[in-house]
Amino acid sequence: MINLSYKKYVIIMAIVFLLLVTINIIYASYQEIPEPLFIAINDQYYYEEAKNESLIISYFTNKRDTRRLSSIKFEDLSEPQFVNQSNGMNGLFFNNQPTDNPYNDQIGRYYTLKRGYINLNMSQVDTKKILEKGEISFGKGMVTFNDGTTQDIDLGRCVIVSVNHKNNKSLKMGGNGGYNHYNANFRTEMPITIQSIDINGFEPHKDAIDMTLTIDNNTKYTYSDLKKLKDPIDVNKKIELEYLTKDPDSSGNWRFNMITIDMTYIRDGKTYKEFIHYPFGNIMDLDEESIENYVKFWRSHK
Amino acid sequence: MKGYKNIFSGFILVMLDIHILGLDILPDFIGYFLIISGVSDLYIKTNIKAFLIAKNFSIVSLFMEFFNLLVLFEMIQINYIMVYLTMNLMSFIQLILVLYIYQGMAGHMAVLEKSKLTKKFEAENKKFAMIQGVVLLLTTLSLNMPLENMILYTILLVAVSFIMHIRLLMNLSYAKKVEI
Repeated sequence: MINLSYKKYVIIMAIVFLLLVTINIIYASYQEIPEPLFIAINDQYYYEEAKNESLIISYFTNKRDTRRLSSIKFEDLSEPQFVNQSNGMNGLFFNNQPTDNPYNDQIGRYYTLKRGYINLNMSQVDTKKILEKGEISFGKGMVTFNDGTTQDIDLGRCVIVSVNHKNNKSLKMGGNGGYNHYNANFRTEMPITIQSIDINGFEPHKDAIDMTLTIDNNTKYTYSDLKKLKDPIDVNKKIELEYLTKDPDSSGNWRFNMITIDMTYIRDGKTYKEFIHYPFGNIMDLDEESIENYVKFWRSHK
Repeated sequence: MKGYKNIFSGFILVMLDIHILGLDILPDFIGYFLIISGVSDLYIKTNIKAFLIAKNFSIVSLFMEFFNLLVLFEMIQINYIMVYLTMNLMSFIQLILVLYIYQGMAGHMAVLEKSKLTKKFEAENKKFAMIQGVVLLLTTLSLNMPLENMILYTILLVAVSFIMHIRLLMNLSYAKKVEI
């Protein structure tokens, strides 16, 4: 108060208080996203008649968004898919939020990460397509929320491949992934020649992730090497693709999910295509910083 | 003095929250009723204007507390920005309320020619205004604070605020023991 009357103190405090509150509310409102951001899946599943495939979708939305997902209608699947959001890992324990939303899985200062679980409902039309063409691809569609609102989404490229088709065309794939790294190995029993590698999907992430392609354990190509590459690459045994975040403390999961690489190769005189993707789609360990990085990325690329 | 006793008991109820089966057994609105009754009583007896202003601020606090109860019992749904706004507004009003209570106490002690207590309450009022003022302004930053820093930040601010309110209770205790 120091030499100020009570009235002056109250007026000055009120002005500073209102100013700070207003600035904080404006800043927080500016962080809000106009609609939920769905994380790309870009995955491949194998069709077996006796088994229902399941998908886990993840999305960020504003903390005050209390809507839940009801269903998704993918453009390339004939039936709408029911989304279950009540049996998430943490779903039961998050019932004390100011927004009273028990379906928030991870809450940050502005956003919440939510998950939805889908048991793929494949109609006879869809399964016939898979068996005839060898695979079916979907990703674009429209979600419906429990309040009746809808939103167009793009989950990338989700491919369902028939097991027979897979055995005929694919290289043997292995790999491992984690918070800040992903490693995919492709083995071949006979020599192949890589005709082209489409790495455009990596372009938006090149400043955050180091990519290395290693052929037969000795020849290494970085992203910039691959950009310049004009000649085919001969492979005798093994292709190894590695992603490593430049900042080891930052989560690369959501970026890995977004990246797809299409490789065309020749084996025994025939041309094949390989869809290289991150197969650990379910994002479980995104911290607040990663969620905000994702939103920053989205803002700069929208 | 009864007025000080009521204010003292009122602040105890406002400060302490004991929940049994999710219900606060020391409801804040009863605390504000006691504070209103205390400051009204003191204004009637002393005619010191600060107690009248404190009464008005405690009535506003009581209304805001009722609003909080409506939110708590889900009769009104508000988003987290409104929660932030309400909580901060309540803290601001409570700061001003305490300042006028202190001013009234100091004025009252001056009338009773208790110069030691007058000086003490004036000094405490300045401390409260400065420290709680800073706490309040820092609290407004919580909306944009990363959650990983939030727990420590909140604990520090709550601890400081708690100490300042304990001092207020001690001073009210001195005032209620004063014999007229």
